Amino acid sequence: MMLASLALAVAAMALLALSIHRHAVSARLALEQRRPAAMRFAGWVMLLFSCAADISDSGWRLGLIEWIGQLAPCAAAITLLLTNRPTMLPRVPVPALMIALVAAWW
Amino acid sequence: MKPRSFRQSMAWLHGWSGLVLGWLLFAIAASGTASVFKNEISDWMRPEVTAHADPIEALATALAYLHAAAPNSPSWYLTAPDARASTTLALFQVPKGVDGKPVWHTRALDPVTGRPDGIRDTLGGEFLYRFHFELQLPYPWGRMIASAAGMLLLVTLIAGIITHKRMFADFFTLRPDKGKRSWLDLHNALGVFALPFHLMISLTGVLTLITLTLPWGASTRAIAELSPGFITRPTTHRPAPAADSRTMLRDAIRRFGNGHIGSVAVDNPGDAAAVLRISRNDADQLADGAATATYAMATGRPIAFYAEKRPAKRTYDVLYGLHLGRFAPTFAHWLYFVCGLLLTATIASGLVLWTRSRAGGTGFGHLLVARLTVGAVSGMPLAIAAFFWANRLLPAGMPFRADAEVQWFFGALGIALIVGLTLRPRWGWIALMALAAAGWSLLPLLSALTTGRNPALSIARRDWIFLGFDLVALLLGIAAAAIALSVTRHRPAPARVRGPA
Repeated sequence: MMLASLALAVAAMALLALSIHRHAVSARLALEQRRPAAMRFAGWVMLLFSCAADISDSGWRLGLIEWIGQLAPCAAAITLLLTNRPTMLPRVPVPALMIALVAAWW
Repeated sequence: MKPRSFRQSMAWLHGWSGLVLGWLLFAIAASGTASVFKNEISDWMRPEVTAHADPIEALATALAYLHAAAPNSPSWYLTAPDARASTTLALFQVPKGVDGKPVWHTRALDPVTGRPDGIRDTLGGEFLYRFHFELQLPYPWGRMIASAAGMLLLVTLIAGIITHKRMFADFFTLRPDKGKRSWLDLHNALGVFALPFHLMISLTGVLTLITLTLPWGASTRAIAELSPGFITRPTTHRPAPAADSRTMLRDAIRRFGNGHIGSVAVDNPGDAAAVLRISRNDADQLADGAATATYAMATGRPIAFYAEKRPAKRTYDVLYGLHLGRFAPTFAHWLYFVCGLLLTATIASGLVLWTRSRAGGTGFGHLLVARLTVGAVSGMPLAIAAFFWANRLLPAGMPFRADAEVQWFFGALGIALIVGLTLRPRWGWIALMALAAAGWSLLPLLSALTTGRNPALSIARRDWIFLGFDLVALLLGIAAAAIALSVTRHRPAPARVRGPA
């Protein structure tokens, strides 16, 4: 579940970044793929799911602490990707989501 | 003077409150981040100890050793070994120090034999932990300064949040090679990503020292109300043998609801009125210091059991525990470590930014700030590396060995500050960061050569503490090398020439 919530947070951060116009441009996201509102919504929903995964794994107190703590390295990873290999960014959410599903199923 | 907007005032406040104790805050943040793995560092610094023992057995043999070695100490304080620490840590008084006064000794005891023989004399991770809030200054000055620094950090954080106009819009933004803009992006990113952690750690950090800073905090009544589990008895001056400590330890575990033992204290050992206080392990719950069981040492009879139930004190204990993070499982420990690194880097980038945003400054103050930043920011990683090198290089039987390790730490810090002040900042960064890179990345090699505990052996023994330490040292070395390289490659933008005169 730890891996599931991490992967969910990464997918969520990638979607939130792609929902911002400037980053969508630098990621060379095709015009028909740009859906800022839907991406922002999906991003926030996944963040909530990642939070839920942590809480179901470690309980309320520790789960919340872990969730808030892990957002930092996830955001840092997405920012680094956006700075160095921006075109890779659109390829992040789907595999990350699949990893999360497999890890949760495990 | 033009009236300034609220945000401009906050930007001014953020810049100056960050500068006043910025270098000190960097040192506090760096040592605090290392303290997350205090126990693991202690284990790494005592490579002779490979045995593990049940905490009850380890404490019982340690108590037997203290009966023989320090019978006249007014108290003994023991920290139990647990999943994260293999030695029992003992604090006790020995009759004569150098100047004839009794002195307190800290010794790591072997979990199986209960004796300190053959274990190198070192403060271990305890030194970095103590430095984090005492700064190696006499009580209470170090703690006072650390507390002031914590309050200033809180002020700086809040002013910084107000100053930052586009927190969400610029959340993922990092524009490289744009000079001051890039530094601002980096500073913002580092600060914002772990903002909840930064706020939590500075607030709870100030709270851990609040008994010093509140005017009534040090009164006897306040102390009694803060720790009602602290029960002791005056000495009777009649000697009496101690009852079996294992029975009392087992009874305490049962009262803790099958929790773990964290620490043990004995007052007036060997006396008929000796008292054994057993406290629950902080790792068992989020709240710090949750339960204490007290026994009459001579008879083994329980005297008192205290579990904190008052809501206000429990809240305080939880906040205290939140700062220390001892409750956390391994995953959360790593998150504390990473977020701590982010805070350390936020402070460092803020200090660099202070000079960068006043570029072209040639005054004495400007030069001093720029060069102090070089020495202080490279000095801490260098000093911690030097501390670890000393641990591996100083001979085991050397007198005052633990103190010598600390001298290496401050020696390296002092040299870094002097080099930072003498060289031009560009060369200062390159020289000191290259040195830090060598110091950290060669540490695993040095450790393997001097102790024989190399990474291959660690994997075979499933010794994750040594392997983890080696990996983190290597990564820190690579990070320092990357900083040195990027300064070498950096070509400052040519000064803009104003149009033809």
